[in-house]
Amino acid sequence: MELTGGEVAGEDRLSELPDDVLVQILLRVDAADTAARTSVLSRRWRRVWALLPVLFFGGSCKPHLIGDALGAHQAALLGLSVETVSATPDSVAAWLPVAAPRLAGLLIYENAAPGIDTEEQGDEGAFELPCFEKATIISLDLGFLGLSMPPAGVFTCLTNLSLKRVRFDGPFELGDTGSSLRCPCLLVLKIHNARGLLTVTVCSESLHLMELCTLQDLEQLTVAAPLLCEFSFRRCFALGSRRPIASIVAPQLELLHWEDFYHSSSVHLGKMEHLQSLGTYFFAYGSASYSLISPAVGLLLRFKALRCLTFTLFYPLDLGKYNYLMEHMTMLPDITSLHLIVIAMGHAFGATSFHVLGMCSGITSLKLTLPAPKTACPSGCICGQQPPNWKTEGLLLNCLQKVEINYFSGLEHEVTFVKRLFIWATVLKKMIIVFDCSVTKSMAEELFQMLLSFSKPDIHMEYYIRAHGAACTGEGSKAGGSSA
Amino acid sequence: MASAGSGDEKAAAAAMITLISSDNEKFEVTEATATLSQTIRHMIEDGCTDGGVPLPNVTSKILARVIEYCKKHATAAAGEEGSSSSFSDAAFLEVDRAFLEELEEFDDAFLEVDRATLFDLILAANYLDIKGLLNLTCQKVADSVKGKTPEQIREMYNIVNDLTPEEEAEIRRETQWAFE
Repeated sequence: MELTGGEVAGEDRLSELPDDVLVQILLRVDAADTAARTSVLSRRWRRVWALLPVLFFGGSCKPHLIGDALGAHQAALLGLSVETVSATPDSVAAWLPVAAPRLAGLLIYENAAPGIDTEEQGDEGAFELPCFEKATIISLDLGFLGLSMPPAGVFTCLTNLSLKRVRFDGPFELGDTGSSLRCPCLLVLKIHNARGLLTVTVCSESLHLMELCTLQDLEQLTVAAPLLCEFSFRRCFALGSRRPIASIVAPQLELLHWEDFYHSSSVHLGKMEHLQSLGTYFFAYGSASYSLISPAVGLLLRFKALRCLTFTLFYPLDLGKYNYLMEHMTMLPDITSLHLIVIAMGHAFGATSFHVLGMCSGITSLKLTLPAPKTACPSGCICGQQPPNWKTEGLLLNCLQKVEINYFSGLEHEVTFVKRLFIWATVLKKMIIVFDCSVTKSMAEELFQMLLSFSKPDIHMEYYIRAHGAACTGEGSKAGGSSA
Repeated sequence: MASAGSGDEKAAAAAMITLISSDNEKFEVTEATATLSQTIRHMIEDGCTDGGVPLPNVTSKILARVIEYCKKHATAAAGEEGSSSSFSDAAFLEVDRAFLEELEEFDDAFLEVDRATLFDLILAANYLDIKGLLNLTCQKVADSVKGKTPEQIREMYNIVNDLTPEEEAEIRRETQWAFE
C-alpha cells in the first residue's frame, strides 16, 4: 500500500478503528501468534488479540506452546483450529486438555504426517481425547496418531463428530462415544480411514447422518438409530479377509450408500420403508465367485421400488484374466432416476450400460458419469468382445425425459453410446453434456454439433466444459452453448 | 437474493432508493444494490427510506466507491442464480469459474486505493454492515501485517508506542509463546 493523498502524515488510522473491526482484521491474519504479537504495539493493542473468538494455530506454531497461548487468551473461545506436522501424542496431550473446558463451538485439528498414508505404523502411543462438554463440532484429522476415547464424560453440545486418519489405540476403541449416552445431540458422525477399529456400535436417538469409510480392521458393525436419514458405508469390510457381521436398525433411513461386502446371512438390515435413494456398485468383470458377495446382487433384491439409484460400474484395468459378470445381475428395483457412474478404465462400456438400462426402462431421468482415466485400453482388448447386441437391439426407454452426461470427452465408444441413447429414449426432452476439462472449446463445439445432428429438433441440448483443477486460467468467459 | 423468481421481480429490481452522503450529495441506487448493506436492508424493511437515507458517517467520495462495489456484487449475485439452475454441480463449470474470476479481478482492482481511503471504506463497510466489503478491506490490512515484526507494523501504520519499557517487557513475558 502506498501512502498517498488524503492521509495526514503521521496519523494512526489503524489504532482508531473500533475493537470489533480490529478483531475482524486480526482474525484474518490467520495465525494466533501473529495476532498476539500485536499486543506490544501500544497500550491500545495490549488486549485486542485476547478478544479473538477464534484462534488459528498454523503449522509453524510449536505445538507445546499452544497450551500457553490458550492460557493467555481470555475471551470466550468459539473456535479453535490447529495444524501440526508429525506431532507426537505427548505434544497433543499438552494443549488439548487446556482447550477442552474453554471451547464452546468448533474444534478443528489436523496433523499432517507426510508419507504415513502408505506405511503401517507401529505402536507409538496415543493421546486421550478429553471430554469437550461445550464443543458443538469436533473434526480431527490425525495422520494416524494414536487416539483413545475418554472412558467417561458427556459431550453435551456436540452435533458433529468427524474423525479422519485415526489409529484407535485404547481399550474402548470408539466405545460408546457415538451413542446417545455420551453424545445426546449428535446429528452427524463421520469416520474415514481408521485403523484399529474392530467394532463400531452406535445407538443414537439423535443421529441423522453417518459416514463410515475405509475402516480397514472393522469386523462388527451395530447401528440402532431411529432418526438416521443418511448412511454411507464404503470400503470397510471388503478390505479385511474375515467374515464381518453387521446389524443396522434405521427405520427412517432415506438414503443408503453401501459400497461394501453384502451377504444376507451376515449383514442384517432392518426395515427401511422410507428408503428413497440407494447407492451401490458392481464389478463388470471379476472372478466368478465375486458376484456372490457383491452388494449389487443381494442388496438390490431387497428393495422393490426406489426413487433414485446411484450405481457404480467398475472395470479392472486388464480384463484378460476375469469373467464377464453382468449376466449375474438380473434385476433392479423400480426406479425413476438413475445415476450411472462408469469407471471404465478406458474400456468400451456400451454393453454393460445397455445391460443396466435394460433393467430400468421406466426411468425418467438419467445421469451418466464417465470419470477419468481416459487412457485408451490396450489394442486387441477383449472389451470389444462384450455382447455386441447393444449396437443393434432395441431398448425402449419411453419415460426418459432428461439425460445429463458428465466428463464426456468424445471418445468413439462414448459417441456411439449417446447416438444409441437418442434412439432408445423416444420422449427425450433435454440433454446436458458436460465435457471433460481435457476437451478444448473448439473440440467441444464440434462434438456438440455432431451430437446435435443425431438429436431431434424438439430436444433441448446444452453443453458445458468442466473447469480444470487449479490449472485453469479461465481464458474467455463463456464456454457453454445451447440448441434452443 | 430475496426477491428472486417471483413475478414481482422486475418491479422490485426497479425500486430505487436515495442515499444521502454526509456532504449532502444524493445517490439513486436500485434496491438490490442498496440491500447488500444490512443496515439499509433493515431500514427498508422498517419502511423508513422515504425521502432518502441519510448516511452522516459517509462522505460522497467514499459512498460512490461503496456503491460501485455493491452494484458489481449485486449483479454477480443475480447472475449466479440464473446460471446454476439446470446442472447439478455447477460450481465445477467453466462458465461459473470465469464469472468468479472476473469478480475477483474487480475486487483486486477495487482495493487499489490509498491507505486513507482504505480505512474510510472499512469504517463505511462496518457502519453499513456490508459483509463482503468488510471482509475484503480487513483482509487487505491483515495481509499487510502478516510476517511483520511489531516494529515494522508500528512504522507502517504510524503507531506510537506509548508503553514504558517495563510494560513492554511484561507483555512480552505474557505472550512469550508468540515470540518463539
